[in-house]
Amino acid sequence: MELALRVLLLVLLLDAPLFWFQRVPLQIVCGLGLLWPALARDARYWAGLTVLVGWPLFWNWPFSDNHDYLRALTTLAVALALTTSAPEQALRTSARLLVGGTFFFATLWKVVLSPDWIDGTFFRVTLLSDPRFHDLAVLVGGASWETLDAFDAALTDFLTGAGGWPGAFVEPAGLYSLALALTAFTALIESGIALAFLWPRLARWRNWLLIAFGATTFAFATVRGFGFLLMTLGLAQCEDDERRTRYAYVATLFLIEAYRNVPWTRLLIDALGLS
Amino acid sequence: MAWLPPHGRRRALVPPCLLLLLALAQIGGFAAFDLSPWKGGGFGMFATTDHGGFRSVRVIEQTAAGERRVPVPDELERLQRHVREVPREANLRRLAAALRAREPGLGALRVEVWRAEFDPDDLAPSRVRIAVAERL
Repeated sequence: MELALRVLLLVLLLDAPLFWFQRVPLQIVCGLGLLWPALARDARYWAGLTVLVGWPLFWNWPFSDNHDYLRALTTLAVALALTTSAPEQALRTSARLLVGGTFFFATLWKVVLSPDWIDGTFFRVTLLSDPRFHDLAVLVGGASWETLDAFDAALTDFLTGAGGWPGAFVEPAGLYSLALALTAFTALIESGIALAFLWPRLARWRNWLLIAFGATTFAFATVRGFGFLLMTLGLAQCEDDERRTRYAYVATLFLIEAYRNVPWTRLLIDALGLS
Repeated sequence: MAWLPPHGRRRALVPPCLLLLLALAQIGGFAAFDLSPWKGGGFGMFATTDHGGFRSVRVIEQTAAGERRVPVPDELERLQRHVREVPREANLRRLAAALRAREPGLGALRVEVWRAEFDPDDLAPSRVRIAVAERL
């Protein structure tokens, strides 16, 4: 539990809110907890942190991301766990259900509620229009930069009302296949994580599915804070004898940070002459 | 109830229960007033193309001479984004009131929120109006 709490403090420190008046107090309090470990074992300290993490959700409404809510629920889980006679087991229970609930609703949205996800439309549009996915579109989907630029320019004109849609857009075949593969992979891994964390019979799969999710998804989806939090929750729910798994969660957390800071896709694109 | 943690640790269920309530409320918001699936804590990010980037807000002034689009000034950009993500009628009215407070001479206003939909065959986008408030 000590390791999980330290890592959580580090995560809160590194992925603090955007506004200075929300960020600075949180970073100071997190720093104090890292410097004085006794503080980080006090439920009142975590209750205070929950307030610091939680109030921006109201201030920023409705602009906060999903992981901002999960972060507040995680600090609350620590605060409540520390008031029990068995904090480690209590935190384990909260962390497992938080991960399971997160992926249950992520899967529900994608597979059931969304009108344009399960047929692949979401990834087809996203690969073409979201710059975060352009490197993947070029590297694996075989798209050219000219195609991406043309789609982007036409879509911008359409959305701003500057022009109509220019007509039939020729989607690269590789991009279509990539979108379908991403849809299938995401559906399988996210529903698998939800099941493994919510259904005890599948417990033996939970750690490796979550680590695989962290190591693959965040290579392109640069939502660093969400990845950090999921790895921290994974770490917090490990059993006492799962020492190697705990290290794997920490290593994946640093891998997610490396994905964000090392322009590895751009280096690969240059090396392959695709730029 | 074997699936429940022992008595002293049941408070560990409070955060997951809050997550459940929040996610259900977000789905309710989507169903009731087209709250953006990407916002509100329901874990609908990366689940649909219906997000802020593909939504737009239009304010139209209705005069005897016809209709004209009213530009939303930068100072109201946050409110405009709020309307885009949470297109409740009250928010649409709030945007109209804020515009009128800046420009009292404006005629009757209509505020609309649109989103883009993509054809699954050729990805051609089309606009769908998801909220409107008139005679503001």
